[in-house]
Amino acid sequence: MIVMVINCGSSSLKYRLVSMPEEKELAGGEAQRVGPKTTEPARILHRYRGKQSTHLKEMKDHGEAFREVMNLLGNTPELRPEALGHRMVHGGSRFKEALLVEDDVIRGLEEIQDLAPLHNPPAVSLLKVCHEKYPDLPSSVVFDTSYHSTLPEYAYTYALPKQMREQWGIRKYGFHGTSHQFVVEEAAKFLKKPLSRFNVVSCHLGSGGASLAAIVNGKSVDNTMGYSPLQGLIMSTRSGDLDPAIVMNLMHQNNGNPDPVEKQLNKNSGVLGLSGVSSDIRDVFSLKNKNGEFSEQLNQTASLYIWRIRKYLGAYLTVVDSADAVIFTDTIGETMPLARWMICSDMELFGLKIDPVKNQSQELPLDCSAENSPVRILAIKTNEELAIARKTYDLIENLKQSRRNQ
Amino acid sequence: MNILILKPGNYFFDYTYYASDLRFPIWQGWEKEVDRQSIPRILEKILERCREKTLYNAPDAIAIYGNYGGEQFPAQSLVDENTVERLEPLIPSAPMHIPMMIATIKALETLAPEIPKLVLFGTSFFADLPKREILYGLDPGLMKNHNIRRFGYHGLFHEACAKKILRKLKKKSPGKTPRIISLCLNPRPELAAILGNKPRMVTSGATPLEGLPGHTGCGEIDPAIVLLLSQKHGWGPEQINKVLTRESGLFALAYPSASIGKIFQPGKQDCKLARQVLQYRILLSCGAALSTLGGLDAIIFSGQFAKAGVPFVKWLFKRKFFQRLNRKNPIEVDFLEDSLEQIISEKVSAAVIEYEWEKEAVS
Repeated sequence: MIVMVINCGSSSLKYRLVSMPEEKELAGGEAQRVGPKTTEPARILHRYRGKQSTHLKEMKDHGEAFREVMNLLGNTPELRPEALGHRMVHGGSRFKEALLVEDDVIRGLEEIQDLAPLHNPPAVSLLKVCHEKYPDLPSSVVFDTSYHSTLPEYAYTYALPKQMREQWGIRKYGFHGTSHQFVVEEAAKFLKKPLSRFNVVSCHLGSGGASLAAIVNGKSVDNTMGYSPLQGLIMSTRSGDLDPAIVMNLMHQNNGNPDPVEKQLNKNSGVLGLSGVSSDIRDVFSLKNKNGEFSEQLNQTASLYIWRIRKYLGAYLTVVDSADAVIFTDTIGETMPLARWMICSDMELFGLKIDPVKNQSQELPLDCSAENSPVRILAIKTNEELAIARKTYDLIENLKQSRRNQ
Repeated sequence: MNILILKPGNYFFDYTYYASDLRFPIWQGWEKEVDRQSIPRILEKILERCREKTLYNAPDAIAIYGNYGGEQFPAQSLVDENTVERLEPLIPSAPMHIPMMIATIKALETLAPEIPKLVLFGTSFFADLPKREILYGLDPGLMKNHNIRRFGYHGLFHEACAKKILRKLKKKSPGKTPRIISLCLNPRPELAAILGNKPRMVTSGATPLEGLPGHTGCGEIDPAIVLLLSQKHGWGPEQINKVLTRESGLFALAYPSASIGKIFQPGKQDCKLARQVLQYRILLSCGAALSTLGGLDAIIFSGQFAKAGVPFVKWLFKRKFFQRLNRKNPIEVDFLEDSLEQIISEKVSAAVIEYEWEKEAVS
C-alpha cells in the first residue's frame, strides 16, 4: 500500500510517499514558503529515485500546493497513492487518537479549528479538498496533541476558574507530539537506552512552529505550547509567550475587536514581527547590512529567539531532573549548527558541553556533545511522515480486518 | 527617624507612620473610596494624626510608593519641581495609579512643603534588565508605541534580598559575584534571577499579571485564551480583566480560597492542586533563572509569606538536580522577613541623611 503523508506546516506542505508495511520511501518533497511572504520565491522540492528537482510555483494556499504536488506525481504512474495520512495540529479534547476520515470527522474538525488558527484551517480545508475531489482515497488524521496526553495535572492546569478548566476544556494540550515522539524513540535507539528510562528535552525547532518538550521515562511531561500553538517560544510569525494584559491592551487598541489581534499575534509577530524582513530565522542570521554587520534589529531578533529557547531549556532540564540527552530536530534544529551552539554553550551547569567541531557535521543522527559531556546533545532527523504512515496503514488494515470478521 | 509612607492606590489609600530606628510602625491604616479630589483632605487628616502620635513632631520624611515607575524612574527620586512632569508620561501605562500619585505630590507641596519627600517604585530595580529579557516577540514599533516591555514589580524586596546575600557571601567568598534566585512570596509572587546586584531575569511582565500565578491573578497563560474568551464566549474587556486578575490564581484552584501561606501548610488536601501548580511554576522559573545565571550561590525568600519558602526549599532539595548543584557548591538559603515599609523606611532614611549632608555642604 502506498501511503501519501501530508504535513501542512504554517508555511510549508511536506509530502512523502511511503510503501507500507516495508516503510520504504518512494518519493517525497516539500512545497516551501507557502503563504507568508519571505525573501525567496515559493517552490516545490521534489525527490524521486535519488534525484531532487525544484519547481518554482506560486502557491497561495495549501489546497493549491496539494494540487501542484498531485500534478507532479501524475507524471509518474507508479507513484499513485492508495491512502492519505494527514497530520492535524489540534485534536482538542474530542480527538485524542488518530482516526479515518468520514464526513462527521470533517464537521467535528471544522468546529474546533479555531484552537489552532494558523495550522488547523489549512489542514482541514485540504482534508475537505481530498475527501471531495479524491473520494477513492481513504484519509486518516493523526493529531499532534496525542503524545502530550501524559502531561501531569499540575503541568497542564492553568490557574483559571473551574468553569473554564472543566467545562470549556481550557488547559495546556501541547503540540508537535508526533515529531517529539518520533525523535525521542529514535534517540533512545541511537543511544541504546531503554525508552522506559529515557529522560530528554526535545527541541523541535521548525522554520514555522517550534516547541520544546520535557520527557521523563519516555513520556511527555511538558511542552512549551499550550492551549493553542501560540504559547511558548518565539516562532516564525507567532509571538509565543505574552503577558495576558498585553493581549487585553491590544484588543482595547482595536476597539475591543479580537480578530485583528489574533492575526497580529499569529501571522505578523515572532521572527517576522521582530526582524521586519523575514519570518525565517535562517534569513535573520544570514542577512547582513551593507557593512557586513548585523543591524540592531536583526541582532535583537536573533538574541531574543535564542534567549527564549535557553530559558525553556533550563526550565525543562530542571524538570527532567536527570537528563540523558537534549535532542535538536526539524529544519532549524537539524541544519543550523550556529543555533545549536548558541543554545547549548555556557550550559555546563546542566551537564551540557557541546563540541564545536562535531557540531558542524550535517550528517544525521549526530551526537555533537563533547566526550565528557554528562548529557548527550543530539541532532536527529524528524520523520513525522513515517510515524503518520505507520498509523494510517494500521488504521486501514484494522478496518479491513474488522470487515473481514463481520 | 519617623517616616510617613504613603501608597496612593486606585481605590485604597494606604499609609504607615514608621519609626525606622525602632523598625516599628507607630501607626498605620487606610482610607477607601479615595479619588483625586479627596486626597488633600485625607492627607491633612493623616499629617495631623502623625503629629499627634509623636508629640507634635512632624514626620522627618514622606515616602510615596508606586508599583510602576517605568523607565522614567530607574531609581528612587527626591520630589522636586520636575517630578510631576516626569510622572505625567507614565499615565497611559498606569492610568489608575499615576494620577493618584501626582495628586498626592501636589497636595503635599501645600500641606508639607518643608518635609523632604521621595518617590519610590517597585519597577526601578528592573529598569535596565537586558534587552533580550525586556522584549516580547512583537513588532518593535508596536512595543515602543504602547510602552510594552517587561518589568519586575517587587524591586524593593529583590534589591534588599540581593544586598543581604552580598553582605553575607562577601565574607565567605570575597571577590565573587553571587548568583542569586530571589523569590518574593507576596499575594502576587515574583521570582528574579540576580547576578550580584543586577537583575538578569524576572517572571513578571508588562504588568504583574504575567509570570507566577498569584492569589487571584492567573499568571502565565496561553495568550490565545484571552482572544478565545472574547471570540467564543463573548466576554467584554472588563469581564476578561476581572476574571483574570481577581477570580483566578490559587483562589480558583483551591476552593473556597487559598493563600501562599495556607497552601504550603502540611495536610491541606483541598489545596493540593494549587500547591502543586505553584511549586511547579516556581521550579520552571528556577530552571530559567539558572540558564541565565550559569550557577547558583543563594536562594532568598521575602515578602508576606517568606516562611513558605521553608517547605518549598525542602521539596526543591529533594530533587536530584538541586542535590547535585548543592553538593558541588553549597547553596545558601536565606529569608528576608522585613515588610515593604521597613525596606522603604531604611532606603528613605539613608537618602534623607545624604540629602541633609549635601544641603549642608552647599550652604
